Amino acid sequence: MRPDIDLRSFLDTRGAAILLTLSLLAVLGFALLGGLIQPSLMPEGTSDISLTFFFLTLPLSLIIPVITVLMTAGEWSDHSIQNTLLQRPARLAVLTSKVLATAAVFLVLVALSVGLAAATTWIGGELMGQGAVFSTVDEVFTSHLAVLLATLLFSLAMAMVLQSTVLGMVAAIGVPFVVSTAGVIATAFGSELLSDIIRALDLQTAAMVIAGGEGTAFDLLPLLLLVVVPAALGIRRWAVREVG
Amino acid sequence: MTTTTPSAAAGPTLEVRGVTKRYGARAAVDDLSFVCHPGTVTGFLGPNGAGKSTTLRILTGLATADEGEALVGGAPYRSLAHPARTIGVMLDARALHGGRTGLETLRLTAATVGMPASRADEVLTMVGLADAGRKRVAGYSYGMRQRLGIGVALIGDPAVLVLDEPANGLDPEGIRWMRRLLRSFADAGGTVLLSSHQLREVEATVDRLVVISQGRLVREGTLEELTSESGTRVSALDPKALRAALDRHGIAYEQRSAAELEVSLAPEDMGRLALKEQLVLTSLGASDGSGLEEVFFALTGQLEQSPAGTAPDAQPVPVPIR
Repeated sequence: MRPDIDLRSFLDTRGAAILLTLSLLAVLGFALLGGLIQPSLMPEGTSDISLTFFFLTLPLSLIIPVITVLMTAGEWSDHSIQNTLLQRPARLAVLTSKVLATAAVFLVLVALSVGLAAATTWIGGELMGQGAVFSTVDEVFTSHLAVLLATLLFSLAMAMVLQSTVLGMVAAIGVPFVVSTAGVIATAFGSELLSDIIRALDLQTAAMVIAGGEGTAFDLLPLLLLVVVPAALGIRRWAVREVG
Repeated sequence: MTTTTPSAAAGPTLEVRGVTKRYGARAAVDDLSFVCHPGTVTGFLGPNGAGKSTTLRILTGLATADEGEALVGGAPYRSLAHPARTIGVMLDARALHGGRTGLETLRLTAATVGMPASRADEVLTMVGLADAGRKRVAGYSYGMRQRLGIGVALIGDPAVLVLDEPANGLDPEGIRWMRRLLRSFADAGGTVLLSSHQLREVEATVDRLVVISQGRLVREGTLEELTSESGTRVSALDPKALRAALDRHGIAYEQRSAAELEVSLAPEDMGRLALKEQLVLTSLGASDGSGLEEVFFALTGQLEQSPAGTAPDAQPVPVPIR
């Protein structure tokens, strides 16, 4: 396994340089928006880290799927997988290596985001408002980070099974949006059956429930349907797919 | 120091043993066997769709055979611990990432295959791209991409080279450079398998030829063997019966005059065929040696004229009469 090579092969392209620059600008912008503007909007005039990080999850829920799909499946779309597999013919080792490299980028991105959220919350609350609220930091880990982790896992599963940049991104970004929209519609109609079906596919809600320690066996169903099954199919496809 | 001749001492052999690959009912490669020996440049020829690329992909582990095996130095490609240090492969220059510079492409490859970063600069010079190393691959011409692809293949200092259409897009100077590169590589003991449509280029470069059509081996041998044995002029008392016999056995032929045919068989094989078919020959003899182009069309031409939709099993393949 050579995650260092996969990391380097992603970072040294012009596309990745543009994507990462835009991503960092977006993260910085939303962190500033969340941390600095809160005091003027909140009745108490405080800045809350949980709310700041919630702002940050908006760009991150787009950035994470895009980076994950590009790092994991991008070589299939631009055909450079041919050279990779000629040099590293152990296919499952290459896949594992790419997943590790993606996870490393995810961790750096999330750590940077948490740091920025904390910094802008402190600046906004202590220097510009009536105080900074850090007592809600638990929510960041049990709610927001759980959602981002679910986004990473689903994006990885889609990249592995679809092995296409375009299809992978459409699925990784589109499916959670469709599921959450369908959830609202199901609630509006009051259909229990429809709600249960949506719940079985709502990975992000399930992740929050599980991270909050209130999960049941049913909450593992989205993980099985949207992550485990497509990942297993993707591993199989990765091992046998012909190149060229 | 920059070396222009890859070190290729004691290169391993490439072996394709009874490889068959089917896509649905169609056999892209059908029981194909051949060997490439160290110290030789082997040309791999065949018309479009003959199964050359499929064979090369099977040989390099990018596709799997339904039957048979393809071996590099006695082992399947995928089982090689450091494949790029043993076998350099260039199948498709378009597979190089356009967003990377030429130098970074080679440096990344060097890091992947465990070579020092300085090897990238060395190879960049070797393939004639020293001035374009900092340019992104997306801005390269096709010929430059081909050179870079050959550089990627050479970076691990391998003892075997497998190249698919390496002369495509190269200018005359580039073709001459590639010819010298392959010749010196083989002369140093390396094994080269070269697939190409450019018959004149193949003729000027290779020692041995493997000709396939419809996924099957049509002829294998040295360049001299193939070009000398191709032309046998023959005429018979009953020309119609002669043509019918040749058709039945799938032997390619051309009408030279009203009574005389040129067939793609050695004279002794033509004699055996005449005996078997009870034909009275009025003349039989080897014609002057032909160029590779004539040999190629003689060996594969009849197959190209086969009616569309005919199953591969039913299609005649020229084989020596024994």
